Amino acid sequence: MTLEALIVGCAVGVAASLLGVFVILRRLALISDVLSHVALPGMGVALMVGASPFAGALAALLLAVAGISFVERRFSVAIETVVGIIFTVSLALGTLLVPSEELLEALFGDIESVTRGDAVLAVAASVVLVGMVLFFFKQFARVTFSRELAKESTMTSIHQTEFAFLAAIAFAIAIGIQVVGMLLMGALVVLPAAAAKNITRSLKGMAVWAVLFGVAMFAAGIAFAAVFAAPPGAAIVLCGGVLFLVSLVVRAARGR
Amino acid sequence: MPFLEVKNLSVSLGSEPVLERVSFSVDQGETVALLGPNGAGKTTLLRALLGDIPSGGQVIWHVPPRIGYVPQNIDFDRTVPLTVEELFIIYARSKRPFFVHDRATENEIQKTLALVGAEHLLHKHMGAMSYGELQRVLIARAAFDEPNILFLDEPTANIDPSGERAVYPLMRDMARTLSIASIFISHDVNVVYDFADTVVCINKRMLCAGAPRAVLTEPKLRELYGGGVALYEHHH
Repeated sequence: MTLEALIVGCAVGVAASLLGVFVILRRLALISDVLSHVALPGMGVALMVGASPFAGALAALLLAVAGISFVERRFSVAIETVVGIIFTVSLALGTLLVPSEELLEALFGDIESVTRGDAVLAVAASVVLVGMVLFFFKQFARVTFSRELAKESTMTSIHQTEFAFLAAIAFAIAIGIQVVGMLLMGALVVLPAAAAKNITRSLKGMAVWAVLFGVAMFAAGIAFAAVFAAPPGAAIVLCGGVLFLVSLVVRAARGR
Repeated sequence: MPFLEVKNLSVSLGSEPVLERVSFSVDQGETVALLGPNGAGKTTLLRALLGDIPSGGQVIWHVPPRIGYVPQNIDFDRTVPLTVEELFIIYARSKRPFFVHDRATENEIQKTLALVGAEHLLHKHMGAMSYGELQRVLIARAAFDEPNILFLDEPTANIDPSGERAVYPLMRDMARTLSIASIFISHDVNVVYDFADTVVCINKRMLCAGAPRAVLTEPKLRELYGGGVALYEHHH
């Protein structure tokens, strides 16, 4: 494991698990998997014209997110419905445009083979993502807890907040595709936050624990992979799973 | 000059008019009741004032509004880890975008909760709250961070009758302590008599507006609710 990979893992782990707090609380655990397929046509087009797949993926995701927000707002269609439609259409488009080796790499990634360029990109993108979540923390929390109460606020509209939330997810997916692979990224978003929710009763507590768990899951996975010569991506996801089980035990022990 | 002026406010759902040409005004510190039967358009009117639904006519705020809103019921996921204190912080009107959690803020929240006798709930988990506790917390929350007007949509819809009689004095005392205006929805004539300075009667259109004792006559109530309404005089 190179130093680059370690730094990238920590940065991505912090950013993903912080975002995961709202993904879990809004019961959207599968949204990142669904949205990730939207990136495929973007990567396909980028590869065809010789551009960076990261840029292509990000462009396609942001376009899709803007589309989702627009349709949701203009026609009051439920967000899950729009996401479902865009997902299936872009998956079809993606398989037409993207060569299958590229597809596999996007899904599974390979954190050990990150280049210095990828590392800089991933760390910078993670810092931006953390900044986004912190900046919108109050708004995300409002829309998550009660839209009814959020209506009195004239500060930021619910639609703007929804757009920012989807954009943050899109950003996380783009980082995932380029560096750690979609599956690991999905696990880093979902598992630490889900474990944190089991052991705390405050939002601040959940955010702090999620970030700690994100880093712990990554570190434990890397150590496990080094000792048993296992693929690090899979080891990290498994450690996250174990962490979640432990959190369930703690919750049960507290009688909740 | 009034604080809020509503002129010929109309709302339609598709081609169906649900509210027609409602006009009234609210002064600083005034308590206004919106009275009418179920389905009369009271909540629609409040939502139009919140800017939540499109409406015709004019809503003129002479002072920029900082609205404290108590909805009729809030539907929330009781598993979400959120304390009462955090509820206040995330819905605070202050310009600070971040989630700030300091001693001064905590003291402010504690003080506001004390207005409704709920200071002991500061660190309680939102999911573990009874309906009565929740209602108190929501009313206090609306009063946090210096609102200049309160909107209360049937604040007692979900609590038992004994709790119901307690909520209105709380609401009135709080509005007086903070000297802010409030608009509350009710379908209970007696509550309106006891707690409102002004009543606006609505049944799709505006049927009366003025001091409750002056405008809530028996013929007017019959017109508002249809026949069969008995009026019990209160003597204080």
